[in-house]
Amino acid sequence: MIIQANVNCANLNQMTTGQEKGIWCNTAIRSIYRIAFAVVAVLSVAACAGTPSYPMARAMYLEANDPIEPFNRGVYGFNKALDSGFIKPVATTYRDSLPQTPRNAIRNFLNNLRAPVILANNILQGDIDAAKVTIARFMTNTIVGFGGFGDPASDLGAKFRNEDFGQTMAVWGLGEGPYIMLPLLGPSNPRDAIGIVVDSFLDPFNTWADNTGHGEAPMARKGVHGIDLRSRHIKNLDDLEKSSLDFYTTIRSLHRQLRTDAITNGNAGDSIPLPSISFDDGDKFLDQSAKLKN
Amino acid sequence: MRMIQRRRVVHALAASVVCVLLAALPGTATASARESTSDFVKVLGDRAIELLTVQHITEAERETRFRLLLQEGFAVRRIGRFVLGRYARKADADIIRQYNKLFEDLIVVTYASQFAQYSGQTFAIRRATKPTRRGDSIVLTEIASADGGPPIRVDWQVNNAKGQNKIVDVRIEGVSMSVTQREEFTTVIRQNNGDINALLKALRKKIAYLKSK
Repeated sequence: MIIQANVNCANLNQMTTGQEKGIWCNTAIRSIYRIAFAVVAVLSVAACAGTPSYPMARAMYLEANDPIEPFNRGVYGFNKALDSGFIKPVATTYRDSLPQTPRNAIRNFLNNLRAPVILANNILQGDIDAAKVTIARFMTNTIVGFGGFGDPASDLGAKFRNEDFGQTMAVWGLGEGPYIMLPLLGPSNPRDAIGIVVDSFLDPFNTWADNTGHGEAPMARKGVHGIDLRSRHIKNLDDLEKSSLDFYTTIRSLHRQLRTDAITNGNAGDSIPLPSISFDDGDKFLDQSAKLKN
Repeated sequence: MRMIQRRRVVHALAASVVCVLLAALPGTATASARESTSDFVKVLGDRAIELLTVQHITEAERETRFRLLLQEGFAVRRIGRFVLGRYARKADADIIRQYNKLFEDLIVVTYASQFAQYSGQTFAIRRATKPTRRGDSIVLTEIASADGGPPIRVDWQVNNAKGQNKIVDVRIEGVSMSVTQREEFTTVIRQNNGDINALLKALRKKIAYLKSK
C-alpha cells in the first residue's frame, strides 16, 4: 500500500511540480487510506454475519464472493431506481435526438482526454508497447482528429483501449477482493474502488480544473461520459434483463468477467476457465441424464 | 448387365467395410475430429445463419430448427450440469428430467428469436487452440457487424473427449454464457435455502414470460 502510494506520488509530482502538490498528494493518500479502512471495516463485520454453515450452500456462497450481498442489493435497488427514473431516460433522449456522428465525436473526445491516465497506467504496468500506442493515438487524434473529436488512429489500426489503476494493481498481482456495489458508480470491488480514486489524482485534467477554478468541469465530464456509456448499452441491458433470472447476479457476473477481460487485454482466449465445464466420467448427474434419455 | 450389378454390390460392400473400419478406429476418428475443431464451429455457424435467419418461417419453425442445431452442436446436458454448480449433486432423477427439459427450453426461447433480427453480420475463424488433456479447445472467432462497427470477439469452447465435437461454452468479449448462468441459477437456489424446485419454478415462469414476448 505504501509503495503504491509513493509510486503515485512520484508520478503526480512529475506531472505537476510544486510544494502545493506535495500537500495535495498527502491528502490524496490519506483519503485513499480512509476509504480503504472504511471498506475493510464494513466488509469484515458484514462477512462474519452471513457465512452459511451448510457445506453445499457455503461452497456456492464462497464462489459468489459477495459477503455483503444484502447491503449491495440495497445499493443496487437505489442505482436501479436512479437509472430508470433519470439516467436511462436521459441516455435514451441523448441517443435518439443526436445523430451518430456527433455522438461518436463526443465519445472520441472523452476517450482522447483520458490518454494521460491511460499512459500512466501503461507505464506502471510495464507495458511500453501500449504506452507508445497511447502516445501515438493522442498525437494523431489531437492533431489530425481535430482536437480529439475524430479518431483517425483507430482507422490506422491503433484502437482505443482503456487502462485504469485497478487494472494496474491487478497486473501487479493484487486480488480484487469481495464484490461491492457502489452508489451511482455501480459494480466494483475494493481494489478497483481505490483505483478510481488514484486515477482521479493521476489525471492532469482534474489538476487543471482545480487550479483554474473549474471545479464543475470534472463532474460535467463524468456526467457526459456516463450518459454516453449508458446510451450505448440500452438495448443490450434490456435484453439481458428480460432473459435473466436474477439481474443483480447477472450484473455481478458480467462485471467480473469484463474486468478480467480488461486486465488481460482480451488475450485470455486460450485459457480454459475454472471450474471446468468438462467433467470426468462417473458424474452422478450426467449418468442419470443419460439413463433418462434412453 | 449382371456384371455391372455385381460390381455395384462389391463397391457398396467395400464402402461399408471402410466405414466400419473407420468407426472402429477411435484414435483416427478423434485425431481428425481434433484437426477440424474450427471447421466444426465454422460449419455450425454457417448452418445456423442459413437455416435460422430466413424471414419466411414461423417463430415455432425457427425454434424447432434452433433446437435441432443446439442438440447437435452443444453438450446441453453437460452445460446444464455445470450451471447447477454443487446443487447438481442433490438432484434426484425426477428433478434432473424436469430441469434438463426446462434448461433447453430456456436457451431456445432466449436465443432462437434473435436470429430473426439478423442483418448480414459475417463471422470469421481466427484460430483454434490445441486441445487439453480433457479434450477441450477454444475456437476464437470474430463477428463483424454489417454496419461497420467494431467486430465482436466470440470464443467457442469445444470438447471432443468422446470423439465427437460438442460446444460446452460460448464467450462473448470474454463473458462466458455458462459462467453467467451458473451464477444466476445458483443464486436462485441459494436464496431459497437450497431448494432446486424453486429454480424449476423460476425457469417455468421465465420461459412463459419470454414466450409471451
